[in-house]
Amino acid sequence: MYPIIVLSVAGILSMFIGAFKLKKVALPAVLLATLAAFGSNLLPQNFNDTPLYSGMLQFDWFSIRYAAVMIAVTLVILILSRRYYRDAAEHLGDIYALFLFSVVGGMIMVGSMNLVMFFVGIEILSIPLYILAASERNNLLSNEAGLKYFLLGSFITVFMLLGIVLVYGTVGSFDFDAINSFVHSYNSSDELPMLFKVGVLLILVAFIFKISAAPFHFWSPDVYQGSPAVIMVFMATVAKTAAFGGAYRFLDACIGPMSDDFSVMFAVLAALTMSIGNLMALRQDSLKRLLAFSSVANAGYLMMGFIGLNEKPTDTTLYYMLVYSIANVIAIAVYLTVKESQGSGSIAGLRGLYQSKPLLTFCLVLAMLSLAGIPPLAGFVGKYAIFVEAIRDGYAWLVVIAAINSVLGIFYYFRVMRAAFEPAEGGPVQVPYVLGYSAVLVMCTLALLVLGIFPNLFFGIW
Amino acid sequence: MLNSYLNKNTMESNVDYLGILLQMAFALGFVGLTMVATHTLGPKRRTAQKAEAFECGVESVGNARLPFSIKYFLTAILFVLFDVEVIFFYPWAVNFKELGGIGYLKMLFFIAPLFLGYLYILKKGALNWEKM
Amino acid sequence: MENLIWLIPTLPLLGFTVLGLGARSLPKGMAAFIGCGMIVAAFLLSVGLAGPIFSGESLSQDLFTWMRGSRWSVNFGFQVDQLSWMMMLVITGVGALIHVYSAGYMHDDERHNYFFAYLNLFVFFMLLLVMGNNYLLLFAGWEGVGLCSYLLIGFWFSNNEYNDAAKKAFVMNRVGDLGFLLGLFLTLTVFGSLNYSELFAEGADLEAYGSTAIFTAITLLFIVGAAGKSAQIPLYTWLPDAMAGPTPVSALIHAATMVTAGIYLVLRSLAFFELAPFTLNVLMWLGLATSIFAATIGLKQNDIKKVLAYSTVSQLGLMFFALGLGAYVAAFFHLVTHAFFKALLFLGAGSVIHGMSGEQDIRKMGALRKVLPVTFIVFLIGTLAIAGIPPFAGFVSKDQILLAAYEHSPVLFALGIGASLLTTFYMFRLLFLVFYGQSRADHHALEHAHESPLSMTLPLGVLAVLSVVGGFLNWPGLMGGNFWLQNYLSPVVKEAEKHHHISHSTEWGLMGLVVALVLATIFLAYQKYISKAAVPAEDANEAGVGKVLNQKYYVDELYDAVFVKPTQALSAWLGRIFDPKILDGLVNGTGTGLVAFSSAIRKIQDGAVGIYLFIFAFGILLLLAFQFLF
Repeated sequence: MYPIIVLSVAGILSMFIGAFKLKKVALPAVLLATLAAFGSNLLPQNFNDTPLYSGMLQFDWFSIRYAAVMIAVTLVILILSRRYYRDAAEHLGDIYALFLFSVVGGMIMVGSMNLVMFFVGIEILSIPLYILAASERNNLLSNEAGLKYFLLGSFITVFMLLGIVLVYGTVGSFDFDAINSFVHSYNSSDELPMLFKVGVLLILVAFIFKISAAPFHFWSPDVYQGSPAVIMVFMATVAKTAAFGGAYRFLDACIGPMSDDFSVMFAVLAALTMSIGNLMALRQDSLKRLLAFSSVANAGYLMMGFIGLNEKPTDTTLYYMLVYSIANVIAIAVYLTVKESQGSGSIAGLRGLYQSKPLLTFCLVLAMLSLAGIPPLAGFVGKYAIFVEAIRDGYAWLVVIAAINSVLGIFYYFRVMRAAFEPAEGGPVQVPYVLGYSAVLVMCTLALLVLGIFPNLFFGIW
Repeated sequence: MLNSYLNKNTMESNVDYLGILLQMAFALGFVGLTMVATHTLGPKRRTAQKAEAFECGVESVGNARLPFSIKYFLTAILFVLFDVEVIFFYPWAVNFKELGGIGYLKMLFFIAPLFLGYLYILKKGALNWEKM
Repeated sequence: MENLIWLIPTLPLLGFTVLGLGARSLPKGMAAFIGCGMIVAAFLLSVGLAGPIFSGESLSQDLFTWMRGSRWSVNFGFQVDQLSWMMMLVITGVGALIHVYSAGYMHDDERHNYFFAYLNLFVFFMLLLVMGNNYLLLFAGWEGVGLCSYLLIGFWFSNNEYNDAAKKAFVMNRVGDLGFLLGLFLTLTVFGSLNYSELFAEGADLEAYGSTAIFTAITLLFIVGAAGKSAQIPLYTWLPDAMAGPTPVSALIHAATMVTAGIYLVLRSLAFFELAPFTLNVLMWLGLATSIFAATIGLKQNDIKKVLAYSTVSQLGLMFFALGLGAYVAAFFHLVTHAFFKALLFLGAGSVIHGMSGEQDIRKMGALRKVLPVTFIVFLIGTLAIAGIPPFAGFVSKDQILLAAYEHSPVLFALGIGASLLTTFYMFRLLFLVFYGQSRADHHALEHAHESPLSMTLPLGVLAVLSVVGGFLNWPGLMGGNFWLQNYLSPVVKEAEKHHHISHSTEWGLMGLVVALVLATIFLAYQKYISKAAVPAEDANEAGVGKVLNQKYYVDELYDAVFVKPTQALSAWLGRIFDPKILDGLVNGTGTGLVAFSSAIRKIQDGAVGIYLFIFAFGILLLLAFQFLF
């Protein structure tokens, strides 16, 4: 709850910083606020096992961990956004404010214990993203991305609202606990009212959309490619973490035992999603679009975590999301550097990186290795843990598909790595120095290693 | 409380409705009168443009894929925004006495962000028609 | 103090991190200070644990769960008992001395800072190896020291021969590691745990888990690992080549600490070995064979460090011999004293090399007694210690091994003495050739010959003192001692039962016999190399047995012919035919197919929102149907 307050106030402040044209203090202030939010999130007073505000929000262990990951990743993205926003004079304060509001929405979503709050959270998360996607005003692609995202997003929101209405109609309450005891009052989920089941499915559809899983994944490559890189990585990491956290919250706290009904559906969709994501990524030339499809593919792996949810530690998904986020942030940071010097965002534009920026290349390589799931990097551990869980739940066929997909993934991740080592035609390029950029990157990279070797440092993976 | 009030009214004679009728007639009459008066008294310049349907500054016929000025929408949205917030004042106004000082403070707390928002749009120049 | 156990290995790791990252910017003095300081601090912290250790306690500290399988888990935690504490003292103590020595020895090297970074990393891994509370951590340390050994042997990587030596060490070690790893798998499968506390718990009935065959298999596999790390037949060939590294490395890694990891492993797993009498026999014969074999080679080597290297192999063989005999304490005792005097000898050799501007061939030395007086004295002490002259450290520990051999059978005793006498002979040959007689050095080297700086002679002095008094650690009862080490180790290592007791008079007699034979051998060496002033022949002029010994029994050539050449032929075939033609065709075919498929389905994603929305709506219908109709 504290981080929500801190970040909301910070967001408003940031808007005023922008309005009063105090460009210099914008980023430091926002970073400070984010740090404060991270700290306040870990305060013991923040922990609460009972719902607050008339049963609206619950800041338990689950939401605190998700909030911690979201805020931490946001912090890193904000630091790295310096390179991107160095020259942007206009609306900088507003952009940062939207970042913060979006995180607030994510935290509300993950912490909500009421469908209305849930809906409010998902909208607070999404609406800033619509604007952010279109924030590069002079870029047609960015405009298109924002509009597309908005159109498709609101289309799905309609279904979600319909779902909520149906659930409310059958249960007579928005409260998760009430819905949960409603589900429990039936012996088997077959006896549940049809309208209730349809309602739940429609709500799930919204999640499947948000995490960009098939068949509702079409928005993500277009939107990711069009959006400014910093926004794209934010959508692929923080927003997705929130979506997964929210989905977990809903499946676990709200419909509880019924969630097993959807295991087969999730399994099929997971297989479909990862296959589509990986196959489409094979032939991409733009690094951003490649990462977009890779994000689709990873959503597929992560969806495997929804199977047999009832006796499962939720940490695996969070761990996977965290390491995926870190790797993605690194890749985008490298992309930004390359784009600045080369002007091209294609994979071929990475050529010559090793000659001029060996450290950056090292980070990129480790990030790609982690994404590809090569031990001892954290990406391997995350994948392995998820696969093991799926096998335990009896979905061996899904794991076989996932393993084949991992191999496919290696192909295009390694393509990126190879490009970085090829010599550039024009010789090595010089990239302007930005304070703290490399340091943050190296720290992220080390985090990938440390998390990979000691996965149980923060999470109970095994 | 509201119920008892209504009940009390129905027990009274129908005379009480007369005032309402009168007020209604007066209101309608005023509107009608002013409209007629302005139409007849004011000067008129009839042009083709004026005869067109009003579409918030967008040409109603022609290519739809054109960049257009956002001024109207922005102003309209801002108007609606602040207008809608006023609705929240009604329940407070009705229960003003019962809510007392605490309620007043709460309302101040509610209005403060609105005021901040107003400052923000002012500072951003959203209300400056010329500059937009 | 007990809460700070984790800090002991962390300090060298910290040193490595700081030195590694700052290698380019740190001044040399600073780097050396950090490198030495970390090890000294670790040593002091280790000493601080003395209280509970001496009172027979075993300390442990679990940091976090490292790995968890469905039925087993391994913690990242430390266990300090009497055995590992003594190892820690040797590692950090001797390590600190060698670090200080390196500050002088490596002073002019341009990669001085990297050297200290690697050394610190080595100490970290070595501490991890002995301090871990489970086999997996031991293995992590085991691999880590292997890596550091590789890095340090090839430290001067501009010389290709050195790189080859480093590679050889790595590969030979990997062969051993594979055995060790398989042993660990077997242990995990049979016992379901790798933690010492569970495997060797008081009263744990290991025999309930498996037959003798299982224990024999596990221990044999462990021995394969130990043979790799501790340079035993047939995997010993890397150690002499490893002398390519800077001399402090040879002293620290290839004499005092890393190569003793195999002995530590056996001692740690004694509970297994005691249930596998066959393995103990193997261990005994393996050790003895290595000891004699290496000693004979040592007779004809002319590189000052190679002689010491073969002597190390020989002494390690002696330790394994002792382990096989069941004289566990004697083996560990010899490990400790050997760490002292062999480090001393190596550092002394380093001092000679340093003084002679890099010359290592003993045929080009001689009469250095006057030029390097301090080095001479400490080298003499080291030689006396290794030869087994009472009361030097080597005498006491070696005597206990030989005594244990005699308890088994006089034949073993005789063979053991044989190995020991060979050692005495070539060590004195070395001493005489280097420090006595006529100078054979070339003019240039002699002009520049000088005694080493204080930072080098100081550690030499300390080690010399330790080599003299080290024997009192386990001074035999016969001579008024009380077997302190044996009592100290008793919570961890229990001596095997004696076969039959030897009377005091026999013991005195044997001791006298050994000393007399040693003295006779020294005299023999004196006759040959001082009185007759013999100088070893050029390698090409050797003939007969001498040539075989000089060429190290042609073992390297044998391995080359049996393993290396066929492997290379196979890999050439794989590389030329199998991989490009068959495998690549298969893989590329799949890849091309997939990529083509990918291009085909890419067309769906064409950016038209209308189509997307249509698919969305269709998808929702599909999901509803899927969920509720089927």
